[in-house]
Amino acid sequence: MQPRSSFAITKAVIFALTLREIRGRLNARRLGTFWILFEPIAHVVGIVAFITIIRGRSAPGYDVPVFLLTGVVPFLMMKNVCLKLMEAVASNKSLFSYRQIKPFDAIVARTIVECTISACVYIILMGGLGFFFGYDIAISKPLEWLGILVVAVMFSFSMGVVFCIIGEAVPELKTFFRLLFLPLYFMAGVLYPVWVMPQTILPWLTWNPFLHIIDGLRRAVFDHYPETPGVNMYYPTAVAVVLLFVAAGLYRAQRLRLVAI
Amino acid sequence: MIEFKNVTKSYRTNIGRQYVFRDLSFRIPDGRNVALIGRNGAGKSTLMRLLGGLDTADSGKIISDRSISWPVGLSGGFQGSLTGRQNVKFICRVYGAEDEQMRKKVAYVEDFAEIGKYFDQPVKTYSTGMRARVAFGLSLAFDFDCYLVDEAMSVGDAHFKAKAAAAFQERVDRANIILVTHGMNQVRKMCNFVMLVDHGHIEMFEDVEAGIAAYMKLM
Repeated sequence: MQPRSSFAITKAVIFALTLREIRGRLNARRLGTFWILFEPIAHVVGIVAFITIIRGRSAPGYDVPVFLLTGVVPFLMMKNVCLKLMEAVASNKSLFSYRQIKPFDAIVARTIVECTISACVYIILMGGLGFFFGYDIAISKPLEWLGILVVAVMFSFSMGVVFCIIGEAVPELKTFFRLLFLPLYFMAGVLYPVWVMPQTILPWLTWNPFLHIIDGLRRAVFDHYPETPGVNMYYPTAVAVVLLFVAAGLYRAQRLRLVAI
Repeated sequence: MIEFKNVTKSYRTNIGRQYVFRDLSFRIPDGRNVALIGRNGAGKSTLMRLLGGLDTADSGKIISDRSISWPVGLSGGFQGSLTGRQNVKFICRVYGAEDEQMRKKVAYVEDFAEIGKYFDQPVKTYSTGMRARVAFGLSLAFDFDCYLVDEAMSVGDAHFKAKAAAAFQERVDRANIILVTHGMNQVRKMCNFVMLVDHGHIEMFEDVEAGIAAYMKLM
């Protein structure tokens, strides 16, 4: 056996796990790739049908499908990162018998897989909207958009790690964490512009970091997107950084229990 | 050389903390094929897990300058929906075998396992014996200084057992094994050093027959 540096081992393990996770994710069900694309499409088609047919109106100033996709795909990414990381340790437990593989590698590999899949979904769906339906899909401030996505990934990564470690200690809470995403989804302004919310409710909604992230992404995508007072990136960034430290601390404290079979 | 220095290992259970080992110290000299024997629940597997790095001691140190394998025949790490070949490649990547080296190792496992076209079928379609063959071949594809074998040789048919034993005989000058077993014939055939685990203590015997006799007395 050739001795390798710790970094080389971690790199090799993360690469191996990433390939394995992608295979597992795409081959998990019949037509696995189709379902991954279908989920956001179903959200968008459902909501567009609801708004245009039942309520008989269109969102002011923006193309409804583009408006929705800019929120739905990133939200699903954050949700998937969170929930898949929550299961990352439990579903890879048998792999920790190989001493090179640590829970951290499984967590990082899953994050890479989820982000990659979401990026593909976004590109395919937006490309489809632009190419076949002629919508304007340009991102007006790409760097800002990428920066916000980094915060989004950091936030969901930290939350996923915290969920994972709590879920290892108290597995019953995992169901609760899963349910948590339904109200968060409706309160994150994914399906409606934040500014239509009445001033009496908005201060409550701004407790939700997802709302700031989704609105920030839209501000970066659309020209002249109206700024809503109290909605900015300071709060989610602060929450993400604090959570990241909490996650790292919890991981450090619990790292030996996570490996135990 | 493998050395335990004041190793304490306990597990948390419903009835409080249970100590498997307290302040355990010993040293396995080089060039010994070790048989770990003892009654069920004596701590053999825990010792194996500590050696393999699957588990960490509460306190104390485990020192070794040799490369130690994962438990040979471990098939729990196989992903059911992936084929045997894909699973083997996964472990190759983890252990840093790339390109040409990986091709060689995959070919070796395929050859050792002798499961024909099933090698490209999902692992969940395998029988226990077929899984064991792939897992065993996979362990042997890598050159470790020391192989941990936890009752892995008891599965499989006679042909497979003979092949596995021969594979170890073949590398006896390069590598050693640490074998957990209840079969005394296997101990006589493959080992030249006995470690008897009982109630958190370890007795070592350079003479295999003396070790087996002490073990029989416990029964």
